[in-house]
Amino acid sequence: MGVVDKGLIKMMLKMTPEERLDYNVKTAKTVLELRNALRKTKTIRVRKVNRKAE
Amino acid sequence: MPLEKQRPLELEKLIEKLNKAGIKYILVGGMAAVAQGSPVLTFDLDIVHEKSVTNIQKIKDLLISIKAYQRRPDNFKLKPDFDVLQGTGHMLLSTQYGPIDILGAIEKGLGYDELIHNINKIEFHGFEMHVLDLKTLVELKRESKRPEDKQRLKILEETLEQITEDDAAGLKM
Repeated sequence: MGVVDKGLIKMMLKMTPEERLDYNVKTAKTVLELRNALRKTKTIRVRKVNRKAE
Repeated sequence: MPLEKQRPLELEKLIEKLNKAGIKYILVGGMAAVAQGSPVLTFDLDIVHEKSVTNIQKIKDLLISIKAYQRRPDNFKLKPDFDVLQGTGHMLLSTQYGPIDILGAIEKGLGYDELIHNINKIEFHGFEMHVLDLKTLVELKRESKRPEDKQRLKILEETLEQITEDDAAGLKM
């Protein structure tokens, strides 16, 4: 199991609860955008492969 | 059928809606951990609700107004099963403001009436939230057998330890 990043916790504890929640929401949104972009890229790649196979 | 994109959580909007509707709830789960300083990433809002007839009616009205439907691995949009609100079950929902899980009870079968004694009040964009305290979150996660909870538990424990050390040193959380 991974090691806990104590420095990251220290950094989080310096923020207000509101800042922590806003930070999480922004990060989660970025992760979702990356996931969606990756999924789109994969779909385009599969379509290209299928077209070549035809 | 392509999978539907997950709608990102609009936390501020959901909290505003819950508070303005006068709904009694406790924030639990990952978001409660984040609010208290744990660097975990979470994508949805988990709340435990109070089960009075009035509160349940307020939740139903809110869920209808924010176009809630059951979150499922396929694309079928099923209406929420409102009967779940009266028991200890979980409603996993998607809404126009992102995902929200409404939980009748969490680990050890604990519901709103038991958990309300272990909360911190947190201000979020002008709204007061009741957040399950980190000590209780840690105690409950220790009971969990889910691998993701076990992994997250170490982060929660370290956060609690650092807060305790800071408190002992007279520093603010």
